[in-house]
Amino acid sequence: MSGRGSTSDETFATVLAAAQAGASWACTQLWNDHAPAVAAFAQARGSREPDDLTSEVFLAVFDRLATFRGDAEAFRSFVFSIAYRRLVDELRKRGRRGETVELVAEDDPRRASSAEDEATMRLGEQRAFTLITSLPADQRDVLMLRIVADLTVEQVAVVLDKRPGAVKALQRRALERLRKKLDAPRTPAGPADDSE
Amino acid sequence: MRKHTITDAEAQRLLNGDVPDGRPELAELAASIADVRHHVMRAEPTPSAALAAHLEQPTLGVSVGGEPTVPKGIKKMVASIAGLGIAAKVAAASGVLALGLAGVGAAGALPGPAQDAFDDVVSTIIVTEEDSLDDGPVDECTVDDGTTEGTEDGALESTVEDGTEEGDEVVDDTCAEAELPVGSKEFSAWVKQGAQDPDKVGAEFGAEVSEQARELREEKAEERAENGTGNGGASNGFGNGGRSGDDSDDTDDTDDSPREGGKPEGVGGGRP
Repeated sequence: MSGRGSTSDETFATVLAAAQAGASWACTQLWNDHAPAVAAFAQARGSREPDDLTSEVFLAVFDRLATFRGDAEAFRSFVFSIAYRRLVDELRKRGRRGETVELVAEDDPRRASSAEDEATMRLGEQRAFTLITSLPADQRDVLMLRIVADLTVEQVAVVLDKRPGAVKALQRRALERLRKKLDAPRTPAGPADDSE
Repeated sequence: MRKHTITDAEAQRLLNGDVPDGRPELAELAASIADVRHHVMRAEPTPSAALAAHLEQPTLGVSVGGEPTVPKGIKKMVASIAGLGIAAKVAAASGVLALGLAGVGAAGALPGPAQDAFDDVVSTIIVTEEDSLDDGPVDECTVDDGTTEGTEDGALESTVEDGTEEGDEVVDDTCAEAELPVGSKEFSAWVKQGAQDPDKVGAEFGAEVSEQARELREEKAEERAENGTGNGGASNGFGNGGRSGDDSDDTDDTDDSPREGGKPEGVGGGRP
């Protein structure tokens, strides 16, 4: 589980109160507990600068912290609600001004993967990640928030501004879709296709 | 028999990376989801400079950009001023200062054109007042009399220097009121009332305020010129300890004159 549980509900109230009072250690604690998941979600959903986006999210979080009321779960929803909006903004901006992708050799699909690449990203993980990113956007949002952000259905509904029933339906369809893709006969990519 | 649908409970287990009971065919899906979680989760990101600064020294009530939160009304006023030309900005800034000095805070609520016209007149008064500040409080009163020439009047300055301490506080109050015709309570009340009147058209009311302030100033200048020739330095109403009784009377006269002139009805004839 991501950040959940690292700060128990009992201590969360203390940390939150301290952060709201302006305690540096408490703000850092909130960052440590939630930032990795936010950055992971941002990256998985296509943010070009997940670290920057995460920093923006937390600046907004700290800016509104004084008005926040709730427990650790509510805080997590609060953080990811901001993160989701920021992400949508980034994706929308990129879409408006056209996709400009900096050419990075490591990202070039024509580039043969090295042994090091194989070590850092196992084939199964890569395939799973590819499967996730191949889902429709709304299904991908739900799965990423469920898997990476570790939110409940109700929390995801809050973040995406949908009904819990709609979130469950999206989640079910996403899993069914993934299962079908995994069950489908696999064809090797690249040169292997040509050889057959 | 193989199930084809994934229930909510099974989905929950799959998302946790577990294989649902009795669904071995979902093992690969569960493993893939576990891989996704493992792969996507990453180390703690590097905070930006702004966030690092905030984590070092959290500042409550600071907006995302690090700028202090500003009330909406002030933001609106600043935004409107930002859209003006340089001359208008100077006038607006002077106007804000004048409003603070003269106690016509409500005039800040005037519509843009009215505020501009108002500020235009007030700024000229403030400029002459600022010029006189260096010359001492009595000179301010002299300036209030409508002439900047008074600042160069050596007789007036000597009157100030001869002034006794007992008159100092009175001097300040007297000057503050006598100096700016727009500071008179009646005029302030009139401007305030007009600013809140929904029937007033902004530009027209602004011109009206402008005209009235101008007339006030001219009338005061004339009065001062007349009084100044008759009473000389005594018109200041303070400073000469030997004439303290007379001075106090004169001071009252000095105070009253702008008030009378500052009454909206007193100047009402000058309104368009």
